[in-house]
Amino acid sequence: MRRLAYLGAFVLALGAGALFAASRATFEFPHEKHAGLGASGCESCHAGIYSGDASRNVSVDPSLCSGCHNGQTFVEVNWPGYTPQESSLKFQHATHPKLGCQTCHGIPGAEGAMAVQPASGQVCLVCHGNGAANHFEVGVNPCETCHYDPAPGHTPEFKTQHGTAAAAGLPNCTQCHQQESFCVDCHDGPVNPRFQYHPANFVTRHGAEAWSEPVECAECHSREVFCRDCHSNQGVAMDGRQNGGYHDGVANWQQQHGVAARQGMDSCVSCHQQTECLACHSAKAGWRVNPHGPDFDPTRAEDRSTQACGICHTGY
Amino acid sequence: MTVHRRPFLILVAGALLGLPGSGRAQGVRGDVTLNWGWLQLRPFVVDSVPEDGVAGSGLQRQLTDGTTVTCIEGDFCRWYEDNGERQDITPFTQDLRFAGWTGVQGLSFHGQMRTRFGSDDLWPRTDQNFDLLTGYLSLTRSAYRINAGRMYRASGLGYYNFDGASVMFRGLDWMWIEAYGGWSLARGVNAPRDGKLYTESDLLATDRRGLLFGGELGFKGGKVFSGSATYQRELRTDRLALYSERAAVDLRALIGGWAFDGAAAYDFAYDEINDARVRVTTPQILGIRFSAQARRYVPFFDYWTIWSAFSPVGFGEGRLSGTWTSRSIPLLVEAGGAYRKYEETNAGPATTTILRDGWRGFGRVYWTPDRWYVDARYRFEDGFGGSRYGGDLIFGRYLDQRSISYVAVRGTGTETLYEFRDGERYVTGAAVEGAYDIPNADLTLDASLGFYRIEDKNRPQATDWTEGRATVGLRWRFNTGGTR
Repeated sequence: MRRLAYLGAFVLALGAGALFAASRATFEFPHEKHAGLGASGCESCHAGIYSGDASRNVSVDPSLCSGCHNGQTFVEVNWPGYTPQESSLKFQHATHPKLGCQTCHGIPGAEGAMAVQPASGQVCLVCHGNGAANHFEVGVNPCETCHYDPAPGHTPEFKTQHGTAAAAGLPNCTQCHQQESFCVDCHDGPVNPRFQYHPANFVTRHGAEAWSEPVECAECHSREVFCRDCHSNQGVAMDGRQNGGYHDGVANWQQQHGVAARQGMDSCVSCHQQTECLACHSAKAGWRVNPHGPDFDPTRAEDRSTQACGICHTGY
Repeated sequence: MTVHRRPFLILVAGALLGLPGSGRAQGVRGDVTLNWGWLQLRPFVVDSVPEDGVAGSGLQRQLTDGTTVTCIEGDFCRWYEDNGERQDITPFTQDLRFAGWTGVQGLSFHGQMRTRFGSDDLWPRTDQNFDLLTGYLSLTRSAYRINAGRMYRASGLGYYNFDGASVMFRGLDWMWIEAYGGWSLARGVNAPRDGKLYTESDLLATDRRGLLFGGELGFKGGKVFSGSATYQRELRTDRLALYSERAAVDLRALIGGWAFDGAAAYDFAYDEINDARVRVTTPQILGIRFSAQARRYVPFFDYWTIWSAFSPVGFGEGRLSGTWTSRSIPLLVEAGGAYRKYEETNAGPATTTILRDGWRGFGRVYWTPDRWYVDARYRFEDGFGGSRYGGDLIFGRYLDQRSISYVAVRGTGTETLYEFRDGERYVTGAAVEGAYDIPNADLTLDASLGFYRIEDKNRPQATDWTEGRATVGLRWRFNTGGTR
C-alpha cells in the first residue's frame, strides 16, 4: 500500500514537473514570433472581425499561412483551418469595435500588438459586471447578458437542481464546462472544499438533510464506504454491537424501527451493515421476520439477483 | 487503493511524460491543487450500568440524572454519549487535473488524479492513497467521439464510472447516440466492487468485479427541446447475477422563456421508479423568476445488497422557489420551500409516533455593493429523522477585479434535533476565510480558520465544547495553449 502511495505521489510530482516544463513551451500559434504581422492590424489576418462575418471573424484563412510557410520561404505548414464550434456566447466582435483588441486580448505587462491571449469571461464583467465580478459564483448578473439560453435552468439553486438539464442536454453543458473535470469536481466526494457545494462546517449539520434527501447523497458519496466509514470512526455506526441504546428518542424503538427503515433506508445503511439486520430478518436463522413489503415481487428480483436472494434464503 | 490495473498507470505516466513535446505542438491545460484540513470531533462511546441498579422495568428506562437508557433484563442498561476526548483529524489531498491535445487532429488526453493522506483513516477514504478519478484518451471529430480509459458517465442515472470505452455518434443535428462498456467501478469510490474499500466496510460485500454496459440516445429540436434516454446494465463477472439494471429518461423544453424539465429513473429488478421529477421555471420578468417542482423519490440500492428487498417506500414532494435579481443594484434574493409526504410503509403498529412528512425552506440575500459583499443564508429541514434550523451571515470584500482574492468573516448558527435521539444541539461559530490570487503566477492560495461552540440541551451527560477547524489550499493553473 505504501509503495503504491509513493508511486502516486511520484506520478503527481512527475506530472507537475512535466506540466511546468510544458507551460514554458511555445503556443500553438506563437503570435509573438509573428510580431511583424502586427503592424498591419489584427484584421489583416482576422478579416471578419469588424464586419461580423462569422465564418471569418475568429479564424485565419489558411492561405495566409501557406503564403510564407510554403516549404521554401519558411517551413511548410498545412493547417486545414479553424472549425467553428457551437457556442452559447452572444458576444460578437462587430458590436465591440471601440474596445480595441488589446483591451480584451492583451497580456498584462507585455507590449506589442501580437502579445495576445484568449479573452476570458472575467473581461466581460468589467463592463457587464453590474458591480460584481466573479464569473461563476456571484449570481448577481443574469447569465443571459452574455449567453444564449442557459438561464432558464441556471438559477442560483441550479447547483443542486441541474441533473435533468445536464442529462437532457449534455452537449450544451460542455460549451462552457470542461466535462472531463467539471462533473468530477463534485460527483466524487469528498470534494475540494473550494467548490463549496455544502455550506461551511456541514459535518455538524448534515444529519437532517441526510434523512430528507433534498438531493440523493449517494450521487456523490458511497453509503457503505464514505458514510459508514466516518460514522464507524466516530462510534455512531453499530459495528456489530447488539446492545442498543442509541435511538433513545423513541420509546419502543424496536417496534417502530420498521417504519423508520422503510422511510429512510438510505440513512440506516450509513450506520448499519446487512448482517446486523439479518440477525432478525433472515429466512435461514434468527427470528425469521419477513422484511418484504406487501408489493414485493420476488420473481423480478430473483431473475436479476439470485445472489442477493441467497443471502437470506436457502436454495440459491 | 483504487488503481488495480497497471495499464492505466502506464497510460497516465506515458501521457505525462509526453506532455512537453505534445504541449509544444498543441496545448495542455489543467491545475494542481493541494488541500489540507484540520477539524476536531468527539467520538461516541457506549456506557453501561448493571440492569438491577436502574429503577423501573421495561426496555427503556431513565437514570436518576434523566439519561434515557436501554436495558436488557439481567444484563446491562446502555446509552451512548461522547467520551469527552477530542480527535484531531487532518486530511490532506493533492489533485492533478489536465486535458491536453496531442498534435494529432482531434486526439486528446484527459486525467484527474488524487492522493490522500492523513489522520490514520479517521477521515473517509484516507486509506485510498492514490485515486485515478479519470484518465482517458479521446478522439473527437465533428461526427463522432471515441473515449478509452478510465472515465465516467453523467446521465439520468446519476454518476457511474468505469474502465473501458465509449463511442458517440453525433453526425446529425437532431440526435446523438452513445454506447459504452467496461469494468465497472463502485459509485463514488473509483474502486472495483470487490476492492478492499468495500470488503472492509461490509461483511457481505461482493467478491466479484462488475461489467458495465449501456447506451444513450439523445435528441434535440433546435433550441426548443432536448432529451435523452439511457439504458444501463451492470453484471457480475461470473454472470450469476446483476448489480444493477436501470433506465432513465430526461426531457427539457424551452418555450418562450419558460423551461420545462422532466426526468425519471427506473429500476428493473424491483419495478420501482427511483427518482422522478417534473419542473417548470418561469421566464425572468422584472428580475423575478419562479420554479415549481413535483418529485417522487425512492432510493436505489445495488442488487448485491438486501436493502431493496426490505421494500423502502418513497416520498412525494412539492417544491416552490423564486429568485429576484435586481437590475439597478447588485442584489440577489432567493427563497423557497418544499413539503414532502411519505408513502404508507405497512410496517410497525398503527400507533407509531414516527413522522410521515416534512418541510424544508431556504432563503438567501446576496448584496455586493462595490467590492464588498454580504451573504445571508437561512435554511431549515423539518421532519422525519432529523431537523435543523439555521444559517450563515458572511461579510466579505473582494481584493481584485476578478473576485478571486477576498477576505471574509462568517458567523453561523444552527439548531439540530434528531427525531430518534433525545435532545437538541446548538452550534454557533465564527470563521475568517480568504483567498489570494498571486498576480501573473497562476497561483491561488486560500485559507480559513473557525471555531464552533457545540452545546447539547436535554442530554444530561453531554458536555459543551468548542470545535476548531482550519483549511489551507493551494492551486496552480497551467495552460500551454493560450492562443488557440
